[in-house]
Amino acid sequence: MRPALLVALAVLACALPWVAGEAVVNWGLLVLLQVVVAQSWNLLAGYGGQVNLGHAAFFGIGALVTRSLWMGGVPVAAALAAGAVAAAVAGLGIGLPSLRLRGPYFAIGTLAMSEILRIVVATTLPEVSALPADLIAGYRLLPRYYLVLALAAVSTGTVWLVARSRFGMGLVAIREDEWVAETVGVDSYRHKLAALLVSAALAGGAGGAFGYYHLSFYPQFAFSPVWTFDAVLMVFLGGIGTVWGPPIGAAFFVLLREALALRLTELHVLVFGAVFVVVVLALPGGLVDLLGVLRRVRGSRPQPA
Amino acid sequence: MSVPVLELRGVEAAYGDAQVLWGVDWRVQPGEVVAVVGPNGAGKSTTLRVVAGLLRPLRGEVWFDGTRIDGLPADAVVERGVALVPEGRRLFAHMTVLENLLLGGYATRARPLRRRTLEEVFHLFPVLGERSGQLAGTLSGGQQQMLAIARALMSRPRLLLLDEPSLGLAPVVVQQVYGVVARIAREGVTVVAVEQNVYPALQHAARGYLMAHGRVVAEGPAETLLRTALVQRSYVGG
Repeated sequence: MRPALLVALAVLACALPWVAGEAVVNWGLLVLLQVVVAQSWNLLAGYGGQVNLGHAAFFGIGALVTRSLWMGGVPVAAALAAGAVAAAVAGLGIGLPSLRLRGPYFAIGTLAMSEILRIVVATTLPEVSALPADLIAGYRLLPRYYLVLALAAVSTGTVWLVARSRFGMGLVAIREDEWVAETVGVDSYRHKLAALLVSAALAGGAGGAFGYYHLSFYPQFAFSPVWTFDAVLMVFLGGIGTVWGPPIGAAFFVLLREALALRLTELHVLVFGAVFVVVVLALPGGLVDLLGVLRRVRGSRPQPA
Repeated sequence: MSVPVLELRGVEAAYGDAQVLWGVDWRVQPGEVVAVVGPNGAGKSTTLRVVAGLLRPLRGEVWFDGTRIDGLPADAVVERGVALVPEGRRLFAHMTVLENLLLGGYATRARPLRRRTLEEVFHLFPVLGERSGQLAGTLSGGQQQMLAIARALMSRPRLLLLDEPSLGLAPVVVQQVYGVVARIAREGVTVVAVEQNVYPALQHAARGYLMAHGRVVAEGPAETLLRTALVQRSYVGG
């Protein structure tokens, strides 16, 4: 991406709350939140080729831990960091056994983990579903918006750095052919595990920001598989294994969904499904390929340093 | 006698419950080109996998340059200077020739030198230099085999393991591939080539092993072995 365009986008994102109404800022926040969710999934699947079907678990753990600490009086930044660490620890728990194996074990393992967590949290911690009145009185959108903006910048920056690093080269080799990656000297287990930890921590951060943003809280929602499937959709829509595809996918996904939901209510899901099929068929590389088609800009695969 | 580059002592290995190697002994001297021939299922490729650290042996020892390497993970074996060219090339087909080569130079030991290694590789395979921006999957079969060898050379190995390098190639291309292998060996890289097809391998090697049913059944100078292999072949009826 051109630096000038990047600066313009950054200025726009920072200035949004000062030039737009609360509804628009709220949309902006939702887009940026999904940028974090999409980028964190993209890091592991798009570069390392590991399909995580339980991304919602990391999001939910981040939300649960951050919110519980914050409501207990811990500053939100510290609570968010704790939420991200808790998600990474969960990533370690599922990754240590399942990433040693090749094949579908990791995908199945993550899916099972997220469903188990969703049910366990919903049945054992019903009291966390609370809407505290004193927090509603003091609610301000601005700090929440900037927090999510910072997370979106951090997650995109992380993917950008990984894409240019030796670590990223190793991940791409694993994605293309794990066995050959090992014959050229890539320690595939450690690469996959490290990518999973970063991915889980970022998803946990996104969940934490969500817990801070969304005052009414139901654990079933934070652990809902929707967070996983939204991530998959956005990443494929925008362009898997690229730096700028997931943000484009997130913006397209959230704004189109909101616009369609306003006009078509329940029918919007049908229209959205059709749009998704068309995009995937017409642009297998995702919407980011449009840039390439239009300007012959190369994708953001790891380039020789 | 000098220390062998590669020595296998009684290597046994299995895939799950099925044992496929039953005490393999190899001794490869520095600078040699050694051919390992034998029918399908003889355990040739499995032995290469054990050497490359991709399969842990049940019993036996693998020595490289005077140190034991059996049980080391594959990436550690690459760091010590062993490179495997897998059967069927297995290139990163959706990546360019250059990207394939740079990934080949991933190892910590090779990485600081990879610009220089790249020049050397392009000198050895001029066609890869000409096509460095082309997707690997669009190269011809011979060029793909050259790229697979070049990718392995990017890790600056002292021992190069070739798994069926002539597979699916026209005879004239096989000659070219082995011509390059001879040049690599002259520069001091020891080469072990595994082939089901006895002729190209034994024609270009000085010495060889004949394997069958997970064991070495004959070894010796290539010409001698070529006759043995022919006898064996008629015996097996292959």
